[in-house]
Amino acid sequence: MEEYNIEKASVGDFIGIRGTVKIENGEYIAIGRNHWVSQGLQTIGSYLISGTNITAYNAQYGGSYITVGQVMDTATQQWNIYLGSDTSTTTTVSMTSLVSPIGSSPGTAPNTNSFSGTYSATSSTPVVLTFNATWNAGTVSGTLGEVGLYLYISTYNLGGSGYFLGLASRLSAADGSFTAFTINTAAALTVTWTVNLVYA
Amino acid sequence: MLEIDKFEYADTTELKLFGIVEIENGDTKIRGRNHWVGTGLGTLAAFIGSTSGASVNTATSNWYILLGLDTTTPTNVTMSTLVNPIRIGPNYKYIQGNYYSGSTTAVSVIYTSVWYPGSVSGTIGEIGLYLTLTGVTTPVGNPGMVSRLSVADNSFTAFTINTSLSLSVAWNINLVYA
Repeated sequence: MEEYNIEKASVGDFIGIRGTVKIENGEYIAIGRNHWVSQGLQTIGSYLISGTNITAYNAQYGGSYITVGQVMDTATQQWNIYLGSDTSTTTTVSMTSLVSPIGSSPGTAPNTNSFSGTYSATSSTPVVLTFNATWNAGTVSGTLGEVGLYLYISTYNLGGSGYFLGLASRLSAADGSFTAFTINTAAALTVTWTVNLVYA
Repeated sequence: MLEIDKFEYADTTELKLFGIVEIENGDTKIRGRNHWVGTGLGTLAAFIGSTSGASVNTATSNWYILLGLDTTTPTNVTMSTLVNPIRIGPNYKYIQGNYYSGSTTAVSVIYTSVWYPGSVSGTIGEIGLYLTLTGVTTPVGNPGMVSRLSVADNSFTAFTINTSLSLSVAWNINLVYA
């Protein structure tokens, strides 16, 4: 007996991972869909290959190993959002950083950032992960043309062997995801990066 | 590889995770799509949300594949175990990960389990992949079912194990740009 039922896809066969980014700066508000780069894909894959007794390297604890499986680790050191001024370079999967960060690479860190996650097995949007970053008025300036979500990247056994803070996803004007604008330095700038996991 | 070859680079705004399960027991050769359950989605989300890199720990105790007998219960997202599991672990199992760079970047992780002849018997109607769980807000910690292949979902036809031959299950999880 031979059966090949892989063509019969139905809801629940897939998990879709989507990101939406909202930028607010005074009266300016933009919302666009992110583009994932390969580092983002690798680090999610590293979870799968771990099999998965997750042992995470947490710089917050001076390089010791902790088990993340026991508690949600929202240490701000493990992720960040950075801004950039490039307006002409479309996102490619091999990108590892913003093209032209505002401030010294990887960019000027936000003054505050926060994370929240919600999960409901029966909801149509079962998982919502929200990364939020705010730059106080006057702390960043220039043209905003790209924004990057940096996660703690693991590439072990999936093309690499390291752990580092790296670009996982990018929102860029060059991709048509939003319109570049000059930052209003009299107002705070807020980026809200929402990652949804859905059954697809 | 399986379905990876059929995916073309389309749009990097979304990642898509899917699983293909291959079963072999003598002349019985089955290939079907898994169904994800809530714990699978939740634990994957917790990993992303933890924003910490995971070390590769491929200890076989961290995951397993179970066979089951149920043929009538479709998968739903609140399931946490097989409906009627055969609680006999495989004689052999291993895990392999592959990463493909370039414009068709993708990750493939294959979990394989083999039961030797005579070690398991019955009519198979469901199969579950169990991984060590974590939660977005609620810690879990122990291996739990993240995905299921079932006859009740029309993913395959129930079959009676030929106990004179080995039975192997290869669970191929793929992460691709959608």
